Order: sequence, then structure tokens, then C-alpha cells
Amino acid sequence: MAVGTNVAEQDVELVELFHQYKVKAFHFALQTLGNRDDAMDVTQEAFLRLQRHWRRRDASRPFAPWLYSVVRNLAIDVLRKRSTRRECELEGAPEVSPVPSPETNAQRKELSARLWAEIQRLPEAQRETLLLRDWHGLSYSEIAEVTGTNVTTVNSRLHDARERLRERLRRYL
Amino acid sequence: MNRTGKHEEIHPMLSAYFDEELTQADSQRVHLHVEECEECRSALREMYEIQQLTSEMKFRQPPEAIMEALETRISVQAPRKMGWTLVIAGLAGWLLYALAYAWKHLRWPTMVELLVEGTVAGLALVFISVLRQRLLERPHDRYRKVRK
Repeated sequence: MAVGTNVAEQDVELVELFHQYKVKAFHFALQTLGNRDDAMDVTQEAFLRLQRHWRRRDASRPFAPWLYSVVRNLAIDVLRKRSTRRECELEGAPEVSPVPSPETNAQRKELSARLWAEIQRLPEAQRETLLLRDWHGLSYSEIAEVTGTNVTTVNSRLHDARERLRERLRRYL
Repeated sequence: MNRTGKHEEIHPMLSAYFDEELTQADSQRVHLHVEECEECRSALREMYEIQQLTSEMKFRQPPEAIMEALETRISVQAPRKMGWTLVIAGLAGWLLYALAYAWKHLRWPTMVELLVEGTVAGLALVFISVLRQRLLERPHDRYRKVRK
């Protein structure tokens, strides 16, 4: 019975983590893919994949980088397939736009939209690193784990991304 | 080291300083430089503003119905897994019991027993083979649940 109870406890833990991370995972996929349907598919597949490999995971390591790296790999697969299906890219573009909260004043809304446009113009690796840090709040070592790089590269990408954004938005900041 | 040289060395570290990802010694060096460098202070202010704006961005929420369906799918796996674990454990127990029983009452089977057991085993093999083929050849229509 102990084995069965242990299995149930593990799944309860995954369900709790699902509650905690489902929206974050979806938003990371959405920011990467720019399409809501694809983002949802990737989120679903990511959690099902984590469940399949749940018993083999290293429980001493944090969950978030593992989840983000699975989402990232699945999203990259979608992007690779999409290279021959251009209509998906065009279709998805407006769906990723941030939704301003009602209390945001007009000037800040405009600045936010301008910033998002500039973030989208960043090279893929820089954009991904910046969003993982400033939007998702991951540490440098976690970002390195997710992106399969090292802390030095993360540091360099973040520095470059911020320099570009500062340069392009200086007169509005 | 002159002021410009120090600035060029420190400036690339500002991003990591801002994120508190530097070692204590490097952080102290940057801190001392920032106190006397208006350009670096300005850069840090702009980084802060960019980070604030980025973190405040709100994106569309995922479709609630699909998320609920996914949660249900993940949740039902728990009793199913537990069920399979118990079934496998039970079958393993029965197998051990049967082996122990056979070992205790070991004797050569009679010709009639061999014929009956051989026939039953053959029928079972044919049945399993047909069942497997049917399952493999079952039509895979990914859109069967999509309303026309």
C-alpha cells in the first residue's frame, strides 16, 4: 500500500505545482510563439511530459527551470515546424500583445506598448533571457539551466538587451 | 587606473549589479564607482524603469476550460497509476504463490493434462494475437471529436 500512497502523493505534488505554474508556463510559451493556440498546446504537452517523467526527476532541484526548459524545447519544435508554414507567424503576431491594466495611465500604457515593441525587436536569445529575468523573475543560474548556457552568457545577453532597450527608449524613460 | 578606464571596466557589470548577481567584492567595486559616476547612476535608473515596466506587463490569460480539462487529465492519472501499481503487485504475489505451490506439489503431468493445457494455451495465443491486431488496426482519426 505504501507504494501506491507514494505514487498518489507525487501526483498531488504535481497538481499543486500545476496550479502554481500553469499560467507562467502558458505565458512563456505565448511570449516565445506569439500564438495562443500553439502556446496552449505546448503548455498541455509540457505538463503531460513532466508527469510521464515525474518519478525520474531529481527532487532536490527546483521545479521552475525544469518546467521552463521543457516548455522552451517544445516551443522550439513548433517554431521549427512553422518555418514552412508562414501563415501561422502572421496569424499569431497580435495575440501576444500585453493587455494594459485599467488603472494604468495613458502615458505609461504608451510606454509599455513601445517597450514591448522594442523587446520584440531584440535578437531571440536576448529577448528570451530578458523576459525570463524581468518578467518571470528567474535567477541567472536558473536561466542558464533553461537555455542550456552558462551564467556568463546569461549576464552578457542581459547586458546587451538592456543596453539596446535603453538606447532605443532613452527619450521616453 | 584613470576614471574612463575604470568606467569602461565597470559599466558591463552594471546589469549583474542591478540583479544582485555579482560577488560581494565585485558588487562593492561597482557600488563605489556608481557613487561617483552620474552616467552609471542614470543607466541603473533606466534599467530599473525598464524592469518595472516589463514586470507590470499583463498578457492574455490561458483558456480556463482547457486548463481545467488538463488539470482533470493530470489528476485522474493518480488513482490510475495507483491502480496499476496494485494490480502489478497483486499479480506478482499470485505468480510467487503459484510458483511456490508448483514447487511443493511438483509431479509430471499426465498425457490428458498436457493435451488440455496445450489446447487452452493455443486458443489463448490465437485470441491475444487477434485482439492485438484489431487494436493496432483501429482507425486513428485525430478529428473524430471535432464537430462537423
